[in-house]
Amino acid sequence: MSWTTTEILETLRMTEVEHLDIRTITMGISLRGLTGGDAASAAQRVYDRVSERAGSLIETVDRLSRRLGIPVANKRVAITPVAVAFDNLGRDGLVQIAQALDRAAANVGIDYIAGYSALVDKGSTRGDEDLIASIPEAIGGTERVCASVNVASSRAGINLDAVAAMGRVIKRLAEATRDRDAVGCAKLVVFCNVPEDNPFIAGAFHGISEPETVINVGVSGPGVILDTVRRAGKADARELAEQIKLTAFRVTRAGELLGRRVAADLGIPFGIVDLSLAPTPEPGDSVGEVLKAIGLEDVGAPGTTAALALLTDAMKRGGLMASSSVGGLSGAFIPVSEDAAMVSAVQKGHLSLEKLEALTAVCSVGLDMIALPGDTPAETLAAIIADECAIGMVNHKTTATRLIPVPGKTVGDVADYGGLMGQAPIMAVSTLSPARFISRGGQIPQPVTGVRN
Amino acid sequence: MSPRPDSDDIRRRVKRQLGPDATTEMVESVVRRVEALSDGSGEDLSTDLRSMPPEQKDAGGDRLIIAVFGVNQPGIMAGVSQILSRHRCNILDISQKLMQEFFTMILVVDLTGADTTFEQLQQDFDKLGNSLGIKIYAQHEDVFRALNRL
Repeated sequence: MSWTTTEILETLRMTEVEHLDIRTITMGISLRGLTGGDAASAAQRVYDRVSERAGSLIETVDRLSRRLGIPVANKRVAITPVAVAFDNLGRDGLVQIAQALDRAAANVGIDYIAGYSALVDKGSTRGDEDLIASIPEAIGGTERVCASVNVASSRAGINLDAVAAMGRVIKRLAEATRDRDAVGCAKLVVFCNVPEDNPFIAGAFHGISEPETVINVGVSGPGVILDTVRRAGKADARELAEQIKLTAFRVTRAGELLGRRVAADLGIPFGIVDLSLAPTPEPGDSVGEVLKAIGLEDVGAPGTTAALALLTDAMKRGGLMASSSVGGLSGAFIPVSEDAAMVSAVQKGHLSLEKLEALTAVCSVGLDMIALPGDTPAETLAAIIADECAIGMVNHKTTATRLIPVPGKTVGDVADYGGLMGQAPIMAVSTLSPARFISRGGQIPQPVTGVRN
Repeated sequence: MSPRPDSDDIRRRVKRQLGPDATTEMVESVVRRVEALSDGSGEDLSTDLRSMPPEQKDAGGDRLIIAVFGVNQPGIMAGVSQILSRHRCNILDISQKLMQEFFTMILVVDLTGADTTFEQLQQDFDKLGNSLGIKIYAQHEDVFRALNRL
């Protein structure tokens, strides 16, 4: 096979100059078949299974990543929703499972393990209720375990009782980790239409229709896309979309290549590539910067929603052409804390919670890493979750919230988490009360477009 | 001479070389030839590996693309080819061009039969690049294929 100079230079530019990397390679592990006996013995079996299956994950990914010259930022594990696998253990038993997961994650050398989860969009079992009630203790008392709860779907509607419960759980989790700016809440995601194969922490879990073990890949690439947009110069919108699409193709191919090699080496199936643009606090690795490069004075300016729609759709087109194994969230993440340009826009007053909500309608995933005043009432948190669920439910897309009411802090303060999570400026939230609405409880019926067949 | 490796060791190494898409039959046939070769009764192995269908070789093929950029000066091509020859890497293709005072060179190199790893080669290239003040990029051919071809 012969190579043209253009192909060689394009590839080298992406890998060597623009530092193309893969955001995460996540191993999904089924925890089914581990029940029976008391909580302590179930917890030991959980520890053993995760340790055994993920034992060589890091070594394998690192070796193949060096061989192909494509760095991988994170190696992580997702597990069967714990409320599904262990619905009979009761609240204290579930906390023991969380602790076993924490130890297993440390043992195999990963920073996060996700799947302390429940799926309650149409109603809760006793096990689901136990798990939700245990979250403040389970997540507040562990370092590496991440939780998620799916409270709504386009098929079932919005479980308003679960939404209200999540508002209260978030408050208690914030209180449980108040000495570290409520960092526990950064490890809890509330979803509508949660995908079962999302490789991105904190909302990952190993869905109940997944195989025993699987490798999923989350691509990254804001830096590479940023460079593409800058090089496109004054291209019109269609040409700009075309350029982003071509770059997305390449990024996806790199992710799938590495993911398939890792899966083959470990002897397990390859699952999906998630085409999400995932920023980090590193300069230039920012979705906000991409939006600015498209032509906005700052994120939050009128036009931000349209620019984000252009960006995410172009990403998807390139990715879908590149791989027939696309899944997960496949959107653009606009977390406020992990993206330097987003943080700056909030601090300058250019980006409000309401504008962020609008952006989530055009395919960013949701209100992610939003730090709020510590005295925000539980009903207000629940109502923000309900709004986000409504956008996802009606538009048949995944939406999520990661809200952090930081105890003792208010607008103008900053919550600092360090590392990948970065800094989160406290955002202003409306003080109008939704309490009477939230306290109605019950189920918001699915939209008419949710009744399909 | 190094001690004779056992069959399992050979099998593992052959599997590694042929990559994830190698069938059991392919592995076994190569292992038989290696064993025959070390008995002194077999034919030359290298020709057999090279005559494999390209898609099988490419699947886990060990080919690198090396790009060299820098201010033209004596010793660039010599340095690069010395490293390759020292490690028994086979140059399959080479194109070289001077753009004003800039030297550019792109090589396609086969690592089958080489006595080194990709990482070791990269380290050697980094050392050479630093000493000459030039940039040498080595990247696996699989990456180029994945990023550029349907």
